[in-house]
Amino acid sequence: MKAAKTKMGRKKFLKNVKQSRWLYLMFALPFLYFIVFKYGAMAWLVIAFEDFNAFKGVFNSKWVGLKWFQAFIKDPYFWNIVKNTIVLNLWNIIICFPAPILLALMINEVKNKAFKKFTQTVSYLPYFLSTVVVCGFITNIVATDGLINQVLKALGMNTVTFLMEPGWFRPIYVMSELWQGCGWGSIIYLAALAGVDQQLYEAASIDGASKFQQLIHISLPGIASVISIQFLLTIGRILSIGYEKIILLYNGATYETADVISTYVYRRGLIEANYSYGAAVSIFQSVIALFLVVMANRAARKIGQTSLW
Amino acid sequence: MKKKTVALLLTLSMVLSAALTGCGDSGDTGSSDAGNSEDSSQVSQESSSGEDSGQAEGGESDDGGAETDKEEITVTMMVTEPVTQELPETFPLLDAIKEKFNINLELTIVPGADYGTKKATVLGTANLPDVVCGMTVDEVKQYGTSGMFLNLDEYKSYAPDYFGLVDGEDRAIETNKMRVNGNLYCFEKLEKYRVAIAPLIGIRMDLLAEQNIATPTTFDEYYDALLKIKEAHPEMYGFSTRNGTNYLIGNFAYSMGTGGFPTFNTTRGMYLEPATNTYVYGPTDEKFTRVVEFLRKAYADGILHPDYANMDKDTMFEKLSNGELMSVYDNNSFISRTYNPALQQINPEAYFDILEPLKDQDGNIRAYRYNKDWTDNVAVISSRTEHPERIVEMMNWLYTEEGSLLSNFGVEGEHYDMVDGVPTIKQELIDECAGADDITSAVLGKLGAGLLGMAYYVDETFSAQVSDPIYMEQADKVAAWTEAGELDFLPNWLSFTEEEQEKVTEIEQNLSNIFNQEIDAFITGKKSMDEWAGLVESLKGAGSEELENIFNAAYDRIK
Repeated sequence: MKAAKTKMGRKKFLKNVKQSRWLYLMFALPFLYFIVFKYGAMAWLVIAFEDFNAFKGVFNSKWVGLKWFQAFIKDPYFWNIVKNTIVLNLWNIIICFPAPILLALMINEVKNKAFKKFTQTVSYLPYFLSTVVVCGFITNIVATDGLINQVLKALGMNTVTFLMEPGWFRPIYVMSELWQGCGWGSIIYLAALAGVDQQLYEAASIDGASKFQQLIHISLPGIASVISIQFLLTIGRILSIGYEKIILLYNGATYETADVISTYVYRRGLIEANYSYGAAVSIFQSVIALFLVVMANRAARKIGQTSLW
Repeated sequence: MKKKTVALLLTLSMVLSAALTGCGDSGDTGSSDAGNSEDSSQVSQESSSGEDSGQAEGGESDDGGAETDKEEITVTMMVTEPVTQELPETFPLLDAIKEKFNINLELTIVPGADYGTKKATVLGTANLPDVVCGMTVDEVKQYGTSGMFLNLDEYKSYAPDYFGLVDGEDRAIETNKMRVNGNLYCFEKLEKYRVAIAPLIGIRMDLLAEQNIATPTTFDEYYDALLKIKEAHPEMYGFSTRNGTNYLIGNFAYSMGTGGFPTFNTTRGMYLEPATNTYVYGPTDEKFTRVVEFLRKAYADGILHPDYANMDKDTMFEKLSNGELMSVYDNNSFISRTYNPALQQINPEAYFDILEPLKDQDGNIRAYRYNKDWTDNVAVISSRTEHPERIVEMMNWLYTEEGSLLSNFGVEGEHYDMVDGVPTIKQELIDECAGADDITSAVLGKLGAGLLGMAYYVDETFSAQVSDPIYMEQADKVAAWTEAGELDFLPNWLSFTEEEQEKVTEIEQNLSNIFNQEIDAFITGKKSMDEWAGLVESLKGAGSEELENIFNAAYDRIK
């Protein structure tokens, strides 16, 4: 009886696989990607506990336990780096997270199709520029003889060495992130807005709801689950802020506000070739990120919106 | 059905893009693998034919050990393409190597700006091509103990010409400083004929004349001159840096009576103090505050360019050529061959000329000129290569008369002629590059030749042939100042035992971490000089004194 049941189950499973074979095939590549490049790569984190020597390899390098973790925590710049990472991310979350939602809501209200498409294209475009190019723009615009300083001069104001001032680093970074990612980030919300039942708007309109009231009571609740998931994913990335742009924009004079965990890992791990140290700091970063995601997920579930698990 | 077709198309496109990505990646590393797999089959054929034993004898031959009846092999080599000189994918030397050694030399050319990262990656992952060029001696010492490089001493019989030069009386001691645990791992770029060169202050002589300022002889006079020019040209700045803060400090420190971060060594604060003949960690030296105060004042007065910390080679070149900078601390070769021609395109009267090393506050004059030979541009061979003997033999050939001529001047009759025994590049080749900012680099770039190309026994006769007379005058001045004891050859870095090296690396990383975090705050005035003592204490706490002891113990061994 049990055997027959199992046979039936397997048959059903195979039928299912056969029916959805193309979907499984499509799934195979990303699945392999995660196995090889994410889970496979995790095995190498063991070098964080070794004095890794590339030539001796992972298995023959000297085991040093928590030496690199202790070294990182004792580093005189430890708190500064962690603080910078968190503060820069908070700026990013506060400014860059709601921006695509607002943009999507605004684009959604545009009735002229040609203008709508034009706006979308213009706002997506910066996303496709390479970080190096974007940083080249920024460096030139904010240079002492750049556009902004020329305008300041023309207005009779003093010039500012933007890229040498620690206080200016975060605004410059966050503004560039906003410019580059806002349009692209709005796509997912636009897709979610397209799924909101149009009858709700009609009914609200008949009941005399203004456009703003419709936006607050229909559009926003309609995409709240997407916002919630996006927020959780953003929290997950909080400590792994993209280092390319920071490396291209920072210098010794702005380390005070610009040096974050990932740039520190880049300098110590890659440039100074201390891979074990770099791996240890990465593990530290991942553990904190995991903790934050778990906490945020729990909070999201309590509030009643969708959660990751 | 329609859904299935769409899914099929999507799947195909994903597979295709993954495959294409794979192809793209192999462009970086795969070619080396492909070369290696091809090589391994050839090696087994070689070994079975027993040619290796015969090759040892060939190693002693007059032509550098060349034989042409070898199996065809592919050797991978990673090289850098400097900003100032192109490196083409094919050039005469590669053909000559193919013809002479039956070696397909497959180059991976990496732009100069990315070379440091690329090197760190291949070294860190031990995924080396057969030959890595453009290594610094520090890197060789750091990784030498891991066993990833071929110990050339074991292949001495295949490199008689190279060892003949580096073990010669004039080079033996400096060569020993490059050994790691007694082993030599690198092929150094040696000078056959060199136009004397040194990093020195170059100043706009036209502006000195315009403001009626005498040529500065002390740092105070130099600073006053810059201030006076600034008064007349407020939009100009005195100087800047093309390689970050430590490079800027290294420019001035030794001449100001202290030291640290000499020439391009932007991570190493240690230097040899001739007054005491001991190694000193510059930033903790009392006199180091002179340098910081000087730069701090310069920043406050608008003499140091306000964007100095963000400048790279390209932006620096732009500021020098558009007349924004009054002076530059750089190699006299760049000043006369690169900066002056570019500057004169917008102002034919303007030009930089080098200053005699300036007197410091104690009335002493000293500055560095580069080491004899080019110790920060060496090549190593991977110990995992399938063809150690043949690669050593090929590299050795570059130090023979034939190899040196080919790697410095191209093919005789085609690219150069011997005129009174002196190799002279053909005029038509020079004319082809007439519009270039730096004709020497442009011509040599076409040939993949010279110091920045593939020459290892470097002959700079061509520089003397085409350079502006001012460059040759400067070279004579550099030689004369060396004679007068004002310019010291930069000494090679010491060699350490494995244990010492480990400690040196660890301490230097900690010191860099602290120093790099703090130094700009002092220069830009965000920190008061009263806080300097605190930084010195932090550096001492991070092991600067222990580092000095290790250096001096190693120095005592070879003194």
